[in-house]
Amino acid sequence: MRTILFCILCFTSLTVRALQPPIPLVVYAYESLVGEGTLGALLKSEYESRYQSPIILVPFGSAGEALNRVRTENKVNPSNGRADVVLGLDSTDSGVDDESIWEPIEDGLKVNIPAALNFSRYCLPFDHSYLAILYHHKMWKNKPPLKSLTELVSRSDLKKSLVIQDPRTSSIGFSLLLWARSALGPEKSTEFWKGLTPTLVSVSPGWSSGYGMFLKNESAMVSSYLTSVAYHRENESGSDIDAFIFPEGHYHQIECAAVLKTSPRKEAAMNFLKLLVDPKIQSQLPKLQWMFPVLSTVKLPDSFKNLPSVKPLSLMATTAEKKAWLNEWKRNVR
Amino acid sequence: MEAKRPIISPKTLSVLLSAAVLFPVFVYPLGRFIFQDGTSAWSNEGLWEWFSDHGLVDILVFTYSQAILSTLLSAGLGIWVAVLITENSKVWWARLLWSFSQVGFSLPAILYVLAYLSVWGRSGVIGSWLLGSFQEFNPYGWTGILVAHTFFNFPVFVRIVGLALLERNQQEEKAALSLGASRWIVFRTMTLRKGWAAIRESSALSFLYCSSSFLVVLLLGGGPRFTTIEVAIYESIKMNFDVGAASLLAGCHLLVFSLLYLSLSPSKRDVNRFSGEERMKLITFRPSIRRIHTVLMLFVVMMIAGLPLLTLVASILPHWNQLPWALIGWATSITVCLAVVSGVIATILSFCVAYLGYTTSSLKVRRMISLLSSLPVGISTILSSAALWHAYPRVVDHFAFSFFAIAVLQAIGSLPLLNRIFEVAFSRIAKSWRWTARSLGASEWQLLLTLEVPLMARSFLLALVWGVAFSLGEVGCVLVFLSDHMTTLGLEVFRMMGRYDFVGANVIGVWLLALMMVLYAVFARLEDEVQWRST
Repeated sequence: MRTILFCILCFTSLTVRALQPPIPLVVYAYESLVGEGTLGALLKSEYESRYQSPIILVPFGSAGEALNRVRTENKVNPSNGRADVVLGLDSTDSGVDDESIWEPIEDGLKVNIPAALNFSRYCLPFDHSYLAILYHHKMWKNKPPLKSLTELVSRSDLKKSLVIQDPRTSSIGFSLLLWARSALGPEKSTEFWKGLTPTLVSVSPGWSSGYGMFLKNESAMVSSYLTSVAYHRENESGSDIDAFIFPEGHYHQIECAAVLKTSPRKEAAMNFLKLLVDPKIQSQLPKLQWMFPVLSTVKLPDSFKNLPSVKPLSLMATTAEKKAWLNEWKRNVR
Repeated sequence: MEAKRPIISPKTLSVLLSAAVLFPVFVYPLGRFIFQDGTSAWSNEGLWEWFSDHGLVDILVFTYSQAILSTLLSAGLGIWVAVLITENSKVWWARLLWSFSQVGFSLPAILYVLAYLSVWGRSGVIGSWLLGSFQEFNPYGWTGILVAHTFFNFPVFVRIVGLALLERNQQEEKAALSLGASRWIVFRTMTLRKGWAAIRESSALSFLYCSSSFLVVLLLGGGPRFTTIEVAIYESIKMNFDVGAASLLAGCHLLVFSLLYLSLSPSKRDVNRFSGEERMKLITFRPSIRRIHTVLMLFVVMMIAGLPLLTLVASILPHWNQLPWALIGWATSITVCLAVVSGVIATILSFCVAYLGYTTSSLKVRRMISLLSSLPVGISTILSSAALWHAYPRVVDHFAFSFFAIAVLQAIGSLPLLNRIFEVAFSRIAKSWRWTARSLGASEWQLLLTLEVPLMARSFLLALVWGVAFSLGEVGCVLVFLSDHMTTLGLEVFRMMGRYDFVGANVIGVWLLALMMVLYAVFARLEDEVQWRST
């Protein structure tokens, strides 16, 4: 009797185990990457069909928020992490190079990615673009074009004409801060911010609100991505939005994904990253993210082909530097 | 034979229900977040840094001065509209305003700001003309912040003060008028006094929401000069990862906020009585003056609310047929279900909290309950959202959990608003009725179910509708527990904007407005029915 009972128990536990669904891969991402018609949705369906394993995409307000969440979770429970991957980190996030948080990326995954895009050992780039000052042609008719960042401050005909994003609340806002610092140097960038106030219409809390104001013709210029021009070319006939190109260079923002050191599903996580740089996904990425793909072999849509090439600028900030530069910005922009 | 004692009194049930929701959703996560996760940052360094380097005093001064000014403006417009509506309660425009003045309430702030700029902005319909005529005209800064806050808050005054004025006892006013008192004296010394409790409650509410404003202030303020305490808390948590500094900032906010809030809460003198008599016109203005007032008031409401909303509608007309209807349908069904569940939870919860205050004899305790019910919003929504996610990270793994977590969170977010509706409703019930019923042997349950609840039927309806309306376009709570498949209309507005689809975002905004119109139309019908039954 005991033997039979033992056998039944063994059989039941084995059956339950076999019937248990596979543990899903948990991916933290910023909100615009999740939902219908997004890169996140495409990755999810592709991963689930290719690896027969589920994914949970957890959306956050921004990648910075996801990173903060990871840090807190690591502090509270360092041995057993909840997330496996963070998708959508970028070169402005100060924790990207923290070896205590991230697992190094396998070299094999980076083989086809240009060296200039590999800014971190721990983060796999999947798209990139350059910061640019976009403008409305029709609002710029009789004015000479803008030739450098410093002209935003020196020209008197540009009063109340620019919308920028707040670096305290948006990643692109902080990128602009890094752009000014990398293009002009620390001292001149301080002067730049001090002199910029009369040119500003508004400092918006995020990209969407600032860009919305620009599209409503509230400002002649907005700080956005060079590839935003491609969106308008693709979707609007006779678009009047273009970008100024500056010889001193444009800040290069690179988006990447990283695997957490605490992840119990590292192999699955690396498979997910592998998918990110798969040519099939990369070829769809320009029209999903309106950014450049990282694979140079991918055929770009026509709207991307005529975008001007620019001199890339890069600068990364540590957490302490980020705090200090933000404080300086607050003192200078009034 | 002695009546069977109920197992539980309504007061105990209210305490239990309130605690069952508020403790796990508010007290526990916040306590855990601040005292466990934020312990390393309790050296006060972060706070002193804010004091010395970032001008915390300036931030606090700006936060409360803009909140006070916004409240004053909202009160001015809201009371004006409420008085004129109650004076002309049978006229079509008054019925229209009474029913639909709150439709903008659930609109995501970003859509209103963009609509406001379409009218008043530098290239707006009126703004461009004003800019051509007056070089100094600036739709941003203080002007923009105050107008946007007035748009979102004046409906609170219209409804709460309007209801108090409609249901007040008018015998004394009629007597004073017949004895030769002037209309102005009657209005100032009697009518306004009877609505005073409602005015103070609405002011406390408006102050609460304006002092925790984030997007409107940043977008229309335009620069670090216009930094509220919420922005400072955001920066501490999200940018500097300094929970300690954020908690201390929230503590500072709580202290100042509580003092100002308590000074706005109704005091013992704010007496208000309910009367079931036939409704009459308010006796305030002479007919000729009333006409001028009406035209002026309609003009102001049109400029602040009507025109921006109409431009929003006009902007989408050519694009109506290019929409992803499947997505909108899915988002609408989730949004509506969420709003109904959230509205029901919020109504029950706020009734329980208000009932506790009502059955407490001490005014101090009552004001403290009112303050406590405002804390989830007052202490900082950013801090409490972060705390919640940390306490319950796995909620987002399951759609159903995520759905109910968001519904409960939204219910708590609307608690201060709904609680005020019930507080004002309770204050209109004469204590003598309660004492009489008690002396005749009525139990607490009998009192509640046969006297108090029937007298508050309209307030229940209003609370339910506002609970639903609060949830419809809400995004902050949704983002806290957003799961993979979850989407709402408010969220789709932001998602579409993130994909450059600003027209699509406007369409969803108009769709939300349409939903609100339907909601308020149904509400108006039900309200009429309740009114008819009560008479």
